[in-house]
Amino acid sequence: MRNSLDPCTCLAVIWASKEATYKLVSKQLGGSRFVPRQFVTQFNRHFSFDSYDKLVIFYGGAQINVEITRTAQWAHAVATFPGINAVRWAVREIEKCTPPSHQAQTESKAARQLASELLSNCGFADIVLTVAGGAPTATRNNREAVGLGISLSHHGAFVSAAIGWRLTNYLPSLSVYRLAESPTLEETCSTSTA
Amino acid sequence: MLYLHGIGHFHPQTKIDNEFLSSLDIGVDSEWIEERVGIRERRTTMSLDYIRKTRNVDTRAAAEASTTSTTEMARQAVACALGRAGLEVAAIQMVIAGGCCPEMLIPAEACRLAAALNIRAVAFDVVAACASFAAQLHFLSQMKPEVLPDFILVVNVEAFTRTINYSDRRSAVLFGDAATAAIVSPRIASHTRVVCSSFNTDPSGQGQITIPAGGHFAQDGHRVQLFAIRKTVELIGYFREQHNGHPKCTEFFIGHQANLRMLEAVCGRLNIPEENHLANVTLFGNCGAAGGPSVLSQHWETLGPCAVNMSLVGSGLSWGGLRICKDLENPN
Repeated sequence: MRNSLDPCTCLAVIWASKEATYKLVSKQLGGSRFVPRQFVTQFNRHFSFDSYDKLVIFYGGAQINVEITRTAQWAHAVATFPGINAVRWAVREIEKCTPPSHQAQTESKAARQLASELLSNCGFADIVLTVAGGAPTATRNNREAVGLGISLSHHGAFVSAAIGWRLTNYLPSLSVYRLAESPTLEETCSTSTA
Repeated sequence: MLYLHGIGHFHPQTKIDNEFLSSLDIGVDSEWIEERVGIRERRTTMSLDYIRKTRNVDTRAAAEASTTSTTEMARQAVACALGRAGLEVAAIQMVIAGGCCPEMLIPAEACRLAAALNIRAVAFDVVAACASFAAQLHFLSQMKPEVLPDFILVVNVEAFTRTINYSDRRSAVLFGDAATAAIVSPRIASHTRVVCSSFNTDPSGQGQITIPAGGHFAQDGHRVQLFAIRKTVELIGYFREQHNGHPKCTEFFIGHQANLRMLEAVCGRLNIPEENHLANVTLFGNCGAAGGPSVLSQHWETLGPCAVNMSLVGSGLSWGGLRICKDLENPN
């Protein structure tokens, strides 16, 4: 970062990557303080901060994969465990006309709306987003948990949502992704926007 | 309750350092290894030339290529434990062994070791991979003392490097060889006692860490590491809860020596200060079932009155822990 021509962007990218990883790890281990230096980043030789790239972060000996996307306005990171081979995500600007007093509520609402649209666009018509204790969860209509990870985030004027799952097969003719049979909630992803 | 009369350890002399692993051209360098797993050196019973030439592709040939046998490793660890306990080998009336990679499928490792040590006693294995030491002592502590002999030898010998594929950087950087031996008694008092123990398994995770017969070690990395962190935090939390309110003494933590980063994550979550965290993974790597007990052995003579919370996690998936108290004033 010190040697970068654009240290602010570097910071945003690294921060988003580590925060997304922290969120993912916390889903497995429960919450603890976010200590960024505990998350060791491994950049490939040609890593680019410019638009899109991948990196690996290690925490406690575990490897977590991170996909980074950056535009002029935001940086977005999605963290997944190895084996998650399908991830969809989106970033959207929150409407600026929202009264400031309703900002927090509106951010949450906008992120949930975005996640619901993502689910629908990926063919998961029978899966809905529920929020229990502040944590978003994907469930079937009958409230049964499914092996699909879902994560929401917001920062400033933007919200983001990501869904990730282990792909068993893809049926192009129907544009339907099939979930792996295992309903384990380990198969998750996390998103962070900066 | 079990009394711990002595514990000993042995590490072979040949070092696998990070420079050697870098020279194997498997996509690692010293910085890469230290950043991710915090390990600098490991010990092996094989020669470095053998590893370099073969990458240990045939694990069945590894025992023959070894310069130190597992029985020799055990003999050294047992001699150390007996010396600390002030006992002769004739005092041992039961032998229990365990670990991850016995040299033979049958007979039991305990029988081979007992024969090598000229011990005529009941000998059998209690195996729970890297959590074997916790399983063995928990098993003994659950038994009626009157059915057990005065002194029991508990041995864990790990020639782990013989199961490693040295073309696979994920496992090549982790493992080392070691042996440990502990002498416990259900009734003869000593200054050090196992006051609380725990052991459990989740067989649904049986496929996550494996060594097929004649094959190489493999694990589902991220799942296993996070599982180890979660279970270790739970176990130490359990011991703290059980012993909350007891007279304050220095409390040390010894975790499964999987990798330093996992242990640091545990310490961070449990607020364990660095000086109360005992580990040897940086210099000896992950020595399987011998890892945690070897740390205790290395500190055996320097620990004052204290409590040691030991947490071990292994294939199975298995996990277990021991709370060991040392009280120099009161041997009972």
